[in-house]
Amino acid sequence: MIGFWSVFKRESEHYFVTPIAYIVISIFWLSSGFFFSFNQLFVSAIDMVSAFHNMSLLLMLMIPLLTMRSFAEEKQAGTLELLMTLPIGDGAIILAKYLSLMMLIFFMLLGSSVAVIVLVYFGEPDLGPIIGGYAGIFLLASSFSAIGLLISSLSANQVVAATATWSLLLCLWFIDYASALFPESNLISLFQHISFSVQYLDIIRGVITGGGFIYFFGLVLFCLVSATQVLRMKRF
Amino acid sequence: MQIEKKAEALFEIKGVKKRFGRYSVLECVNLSIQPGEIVGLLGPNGSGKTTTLRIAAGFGWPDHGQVLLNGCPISPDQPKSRRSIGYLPERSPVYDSFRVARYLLFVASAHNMDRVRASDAVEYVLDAFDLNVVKNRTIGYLSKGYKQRIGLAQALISKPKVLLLDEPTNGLDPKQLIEARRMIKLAAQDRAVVFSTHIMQEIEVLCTRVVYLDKGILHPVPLKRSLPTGCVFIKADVLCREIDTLYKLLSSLSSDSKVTILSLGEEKFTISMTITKEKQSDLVSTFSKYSLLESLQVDGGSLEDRLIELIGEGSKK
Repeated sequence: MIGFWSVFKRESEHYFVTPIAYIVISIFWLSSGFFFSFNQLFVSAIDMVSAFHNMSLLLMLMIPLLTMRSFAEEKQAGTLELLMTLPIGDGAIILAKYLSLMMLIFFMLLGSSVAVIVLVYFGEPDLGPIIGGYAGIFLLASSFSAIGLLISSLSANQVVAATATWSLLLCLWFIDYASALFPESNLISLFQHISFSVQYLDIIRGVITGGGFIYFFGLVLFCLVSATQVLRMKRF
Repeated sequence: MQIEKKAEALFEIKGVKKRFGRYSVLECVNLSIQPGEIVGLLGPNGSGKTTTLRIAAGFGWPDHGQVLLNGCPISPDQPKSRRSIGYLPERSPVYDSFRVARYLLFVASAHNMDRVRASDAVEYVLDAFDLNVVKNRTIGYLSKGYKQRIGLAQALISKPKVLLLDEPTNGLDPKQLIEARRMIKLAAQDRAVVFSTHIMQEIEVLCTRVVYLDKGILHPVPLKRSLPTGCVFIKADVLCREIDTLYKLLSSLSSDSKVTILSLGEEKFTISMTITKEKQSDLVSTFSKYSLLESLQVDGGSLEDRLIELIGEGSKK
């Protein structure tokens, strides 16, 4: 992976030398904190099912705003040409951009874990589903990010990249509703299997099934390999 | 029998062809460069100068042919092969949100330098390109001239053997232009440089060789005109109502030399031709007789004249 670390450091720094990271992290912490507090005050549940549900929706809204710049911004500024003539492999560029984004998301989720401390302080929550839930939310965010990165590599405009990512994520979220259109079809199980809204029901309860793990991991792998191919195609 | 061994080229573009859809950009580009040479790449807009430089820099694949550095191919899928190439794309793109020194450190580390070597390389280019005063400033707030310098500095940070510059002086003001020329000359020491430009003056000041890209093929353009013994090159502005009258007059004076006639509008033409010294006085007296002559220059002619001859615009033998 020639040049991986240099791009990884540059990308990670980029989030923090510009206001992007501060704004996104602040909004995520404030929003997830608000929803968690609201849930505790009015429902008094000693779990994080509702918090994970809100986090999933927040991440679906916010990740396209982070991924839209990954390649679209570089294309607009002309820096992609510069990056692709440096001795850095195409795969290294994709992986470095993806992992730096995942690091930012990790920080976002880490900050929101203050909620767990509050739960432990005031009650006796079952930590297993909470840890599992966090791992699941991270998997969900990984697939959102990979999809966003792939779409950004295809687009030269940041707004188009963000809008297309939202559209695709919404489609994948609600695709199981399409089962109602084909009640007799074999497609029902396929729609339910690839639908985020079905997969996330397990995740918010802190359950990661083998099938779910393979689905998310496969989706990430598919998007990253495709983004690498998109970058390679630019060389032809 | 003596066999003269031809010196091996440092950098070679061999039979490169490139199409975009049905449009053929590069038909067959061949160029070989020795260390210390500065090659000027000229050509009209859309002639494929940027495509040539991108392929040479290992950014894009050619459809046919190859690029060699010291005999080893430069390939887009082999990042290591690009380590000895410095490239400055058109518009000198840089990461605006970064500070100058940090950006240069990123480029150095992308060239696989360890921290000490990368710091030394950054110090070297900061000194060489007078960037020390702005090293801690954010690139986005700097002038275009500074950004151009940063672009040149990043292209040179790995001390490459070949430097490829795509219109490096585009959009610079006269002061920045002089500065940029100094930088390019500095950069060209002991390495091969190819740069594309539209500015003839630049080529004449900087280059050791000029090539002109037209219809996908590179043509050499002589920097200095070699004239036959006893001949001079004449460039004259004349006033004449009809171009045919001019042709008749000129063919009576010289039937064996190539004459280029450029229309300047309003019955005004520029004639350039190589002529014997004896016939030069005949030409002057004939033109004076009909009060056609407005101005006359006798010298080797500019690079622009030679380029016009090469393109063949308005020429007639």
